[in-house]
Amino acid sequence: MRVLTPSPRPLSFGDHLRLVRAYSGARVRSEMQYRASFAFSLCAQILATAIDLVAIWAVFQATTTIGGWDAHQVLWLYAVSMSAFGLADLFVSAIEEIPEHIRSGRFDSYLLRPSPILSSVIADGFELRRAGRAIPGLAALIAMFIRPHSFGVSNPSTLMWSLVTVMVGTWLYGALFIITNSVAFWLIDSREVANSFTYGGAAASHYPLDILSGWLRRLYIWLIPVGFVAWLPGTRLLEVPKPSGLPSWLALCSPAAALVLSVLAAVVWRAGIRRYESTGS
Amino acid sequence: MGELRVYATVARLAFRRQATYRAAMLAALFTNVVFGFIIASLFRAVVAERGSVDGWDSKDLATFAFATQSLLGAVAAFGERELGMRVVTGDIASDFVRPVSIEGWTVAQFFGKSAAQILVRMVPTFAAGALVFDLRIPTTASAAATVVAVVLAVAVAAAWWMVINLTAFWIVNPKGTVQLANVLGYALSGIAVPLVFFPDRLEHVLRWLPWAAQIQLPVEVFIGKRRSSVVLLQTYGQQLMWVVVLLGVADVLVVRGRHKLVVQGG
Repeated sequence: MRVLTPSPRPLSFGDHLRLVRAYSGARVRSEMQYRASFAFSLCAQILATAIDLVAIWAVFQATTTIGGWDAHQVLWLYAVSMSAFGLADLFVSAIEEIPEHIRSGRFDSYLLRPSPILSSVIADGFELRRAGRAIPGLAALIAMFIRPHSFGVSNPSTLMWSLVTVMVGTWLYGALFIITNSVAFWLIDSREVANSFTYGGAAASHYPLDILSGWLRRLYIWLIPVGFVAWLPGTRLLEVPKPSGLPSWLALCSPAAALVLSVLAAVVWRAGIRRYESTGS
Repeated sequence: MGELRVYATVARLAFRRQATYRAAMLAALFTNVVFGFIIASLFRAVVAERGSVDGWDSKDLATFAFATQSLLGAVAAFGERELGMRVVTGDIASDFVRPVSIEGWTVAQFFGKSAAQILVRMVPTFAAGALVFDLRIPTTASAAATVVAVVLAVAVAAAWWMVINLTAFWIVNPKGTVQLANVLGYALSGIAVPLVFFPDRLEHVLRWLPWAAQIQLPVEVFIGKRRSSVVLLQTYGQQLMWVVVLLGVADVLVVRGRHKLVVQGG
């Protein structure tokens, strides 16, 4: 591993990247010391995510459409939203360890590192086994490129836009992870509640949110905007009748939603850092 | 008689310990309510087309969604690792020295923890659902029948998690087995979707597995789907059968595990 020597000049972006690689590389190497355990939890994560497909299959044994979406279109929702969630989980969810860092006082060490605090926390907690959660979604995405019709996709440009949607969704979920877990700076035992927003949001977002009643749907559009991950862009890409009572331009607003959420994430994160007082014992 | 008093004390202490994790239980309660809303909404959309599935209307399904969420904590649907960790750390050796059985001790402890979960999570989850959805409020008779079914479900869960945890004697870390059991249980117990959604033949098989005995069956009793006394007795019998079978398996595993156990150091 290359070691950075103290230098009088401020660190460049390239230096930061090297640090991130060093932190996450160390973590992956330590993970690989227990190969069997790694393989087992990778498989368990894959299975846990793929099991939702069984639920979707069972649901469509009982009906042919839900909320105006047929099985193919719901499969598209699954592919897009689970890819986005899985990737965000892989790259950002290490931030869930914040409460533990705060409780143990280890958070102090991140404040002393030369790289930005957020990126050190995330890179330091990087675990390759989390890829298990992204794999079923990504596999579905690949299947979509092989058999687009099974996913309600009828032309190549929709395929490309689906990929863009996944990227925007990853970004949005990433910001959501940061916001919900930053609450730990104020409430140390907030992890479960944070989970119910992030994982609950993911559970909701592979179904068309038309199924939710008014206030709950508004919650998932305006407050925890997971509706922008797959469902809203999907109404336009797959030409599903748009949900009543919502303007059609909303389907194009996913990047804007992700941007707003990122700004919020930055604000909340910074406020949390400013508020942080070390634990002493 | 003395042994029973020990178990009662174990259960009471486990209850007290669980009761101190109030924040965690309230957070879990919040999660149950959120998922209840999502799943009940999904079910409503499923029956929107045909009005009912195998005789289950939207009211049945909404009630099912919240009743399952209310029950999750009681049967530790997302895993129970305590006994397995005692095997891993070697603490189990001191359990073998006790004058009461490990099986009885573990079941008593599970019941104590469940009681705390039931107290904190069961009624509020269902009440939160009833505020928004039109739910089936049970008659006195089906409420009474449900109490028995839930006690039996907790017993099945206690025995089930004991068997899963005892695999730690042979598999170094029980975390993996517990995870696997979670995933299967989630899909096949009725938590993700009620078993009536599955094709008939699969549904019949799933109904006989230990997962249905923990979730699907007691919830059906609650909704009033198993009102006739014959069906009710059959339900209890099925749950009881799993308690007996799983406790039998646990017995064998405990004996085999004791022969395998090597305690180091001193």
